[in-house]
Amino acid sequence: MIATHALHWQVRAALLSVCCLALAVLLWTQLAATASARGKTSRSDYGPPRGLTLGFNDNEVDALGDPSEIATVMDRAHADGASVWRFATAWAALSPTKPPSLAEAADPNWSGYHWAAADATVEEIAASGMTPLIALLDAPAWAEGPNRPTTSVAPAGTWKPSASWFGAFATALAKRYSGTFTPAGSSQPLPAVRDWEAWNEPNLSTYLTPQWSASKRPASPGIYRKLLDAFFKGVKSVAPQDVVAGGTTAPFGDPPGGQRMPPVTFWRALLCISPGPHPHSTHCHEHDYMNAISHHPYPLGPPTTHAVDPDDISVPDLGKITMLIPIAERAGTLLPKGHKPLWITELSWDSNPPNPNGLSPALQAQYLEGAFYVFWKQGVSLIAWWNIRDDNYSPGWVNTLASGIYYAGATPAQDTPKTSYTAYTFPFTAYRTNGVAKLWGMAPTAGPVSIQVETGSTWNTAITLQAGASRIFDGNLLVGMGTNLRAVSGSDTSLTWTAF
Amino acid sequence: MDRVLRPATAFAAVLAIGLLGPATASAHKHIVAPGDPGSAQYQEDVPTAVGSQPVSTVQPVTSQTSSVLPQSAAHQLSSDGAAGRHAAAVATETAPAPVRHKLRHQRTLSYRKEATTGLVAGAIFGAGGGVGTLLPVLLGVSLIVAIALTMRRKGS
Repeated sequence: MIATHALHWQVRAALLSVCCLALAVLLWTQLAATASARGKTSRSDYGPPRGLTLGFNDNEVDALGDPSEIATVMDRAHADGASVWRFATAWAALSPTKPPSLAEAADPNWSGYHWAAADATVEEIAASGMTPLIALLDAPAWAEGPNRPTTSVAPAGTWKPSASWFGAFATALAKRYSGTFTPAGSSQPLPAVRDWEAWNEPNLSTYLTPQWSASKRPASPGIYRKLLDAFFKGVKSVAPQDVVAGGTTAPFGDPPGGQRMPPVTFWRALLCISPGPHPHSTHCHEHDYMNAISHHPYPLGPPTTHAVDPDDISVPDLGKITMLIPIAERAGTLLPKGHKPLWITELSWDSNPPNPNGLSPALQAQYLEGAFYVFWKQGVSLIAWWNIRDDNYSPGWVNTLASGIYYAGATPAQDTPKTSYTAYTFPFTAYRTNGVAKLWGMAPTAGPVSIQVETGSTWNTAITLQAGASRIFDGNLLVGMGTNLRAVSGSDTSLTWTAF
Repeated sequence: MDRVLRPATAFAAVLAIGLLGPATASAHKHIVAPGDPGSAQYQEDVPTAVGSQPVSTVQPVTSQTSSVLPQSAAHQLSSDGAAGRHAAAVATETAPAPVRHKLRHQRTLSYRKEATTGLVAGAIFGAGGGVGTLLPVLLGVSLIVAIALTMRRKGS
């Protein structure tokens, strides 16, 4: 009896040992794989870039109509430090009628195109000294797919746009804005456009449908892939040096079947990467062509606030995209290989006034410069803030973006700067960790930047940093919590940053 | 037999804590964020027990001001009138996550429990969703104990 009991005991102990050993080996293997994946992610080149290009979006400025008013705003934008002006233009507006053939669709001289508005905007942007970034959206009805549902389900211009016609149209666009195209009746060529976004927020049904298949699997990434690839090839056939950004995703999604696809879900489906905590290529034999990555990380509060849903991407969450890039490149899904700049082509916080739901002007300014730092730290190279001047009021403020760095006057000449104007033109932050403030900013010009600390009622220079050609400066300073700091470059002074 | 199962029981308990911890920590969130675009397509929805809810985002944080700033700094700022209060509000609203985390940790017992559980879970399973380092160590220790007990039993 004793011997039997001992035998059972030994067998059980041996079994337990074997199970533990097997489990330990399995977990150690996974641990090694995780560490390896992290190592690979860390090898991606999305550290802080050398420079940061600033820009603006402002649909209402594009639609002002009066060239002198547009020029007033765009000249001001350039003077404020913007070097890019992004404008979205509707394919449907440029090509309301169907070209007779793909060959004619690729010809910018085809008589059916309506180029006047786009030409004027591009010329205004170039005249101000900025470079245009064009985002395409809205397919003409003739280019939408078959079996179109009602517009309540699929808004106009969103239903399965034809990639082949879009590619031909991209060719016409690239030819027209190649920098060498002279329109009939003009004596000089149109300015060049070198930066493009193939579609706007393709993870929203506002811009692309269907988002999901009948079985609630991602559908829009496949549609977008075809559009992007056609657009990329169309542009590159004319101007191989042009930059075509992919993604241009909106920040938040809904559960499968909803109106919005979470951006992480969209990017993974686009790049053929598995869901779950250990993303890997599914080797789908598809190819995505892009030279840059763009996203619209609208915020959830302060710029350091992460999205709640792990598949959403707000201001500090860009790693959710950049971690996928090397995986897709290694698998050969994402082409061409090489560094892909990270662009933020829309972002905003509203201020109060005028929007009663907005932030105080000072807080809007603090968030703006805080976001610039958080983006820079994540490797962003371009930020296009949404609105240089506040929108005209629309009921309920739902479609009013009071996110300008200027309060809108009756005319642009009567606009007045907000606190965020200073934040945009001379951003300065000093996030503090363990008593050390990480000083960061973008001076209006290159040269020495004094970091001053408020003592009593006087400001004393604590350290002098150097802003290089990129205008970026950064450094560290040991400061107490609650210390007020500011940066001074020549006659320009940043807003005060309270270290916390 | 009880002695042999003791490490396994402890191991199972740690596993259970680790598995339950994240579930407890993922409580429903309702936050309020002024300044966001009014359009619903730029607002985050999160699943809750009663279905998907808009994250109208972070609660107004002015009430937390005195806890983000040290007491002396908060007192000094509050004595500086409106400008001081504004500076304190800015400091609070722009406080990085660790400060907010610490604040909540200090203030809420239930949160502290979740945070502690989360720490254990993080140590076991890894904070980034991968496998943590503690679990293999525990397994190794369990293995050694089991072998040692087996050897001792054989010896006796």
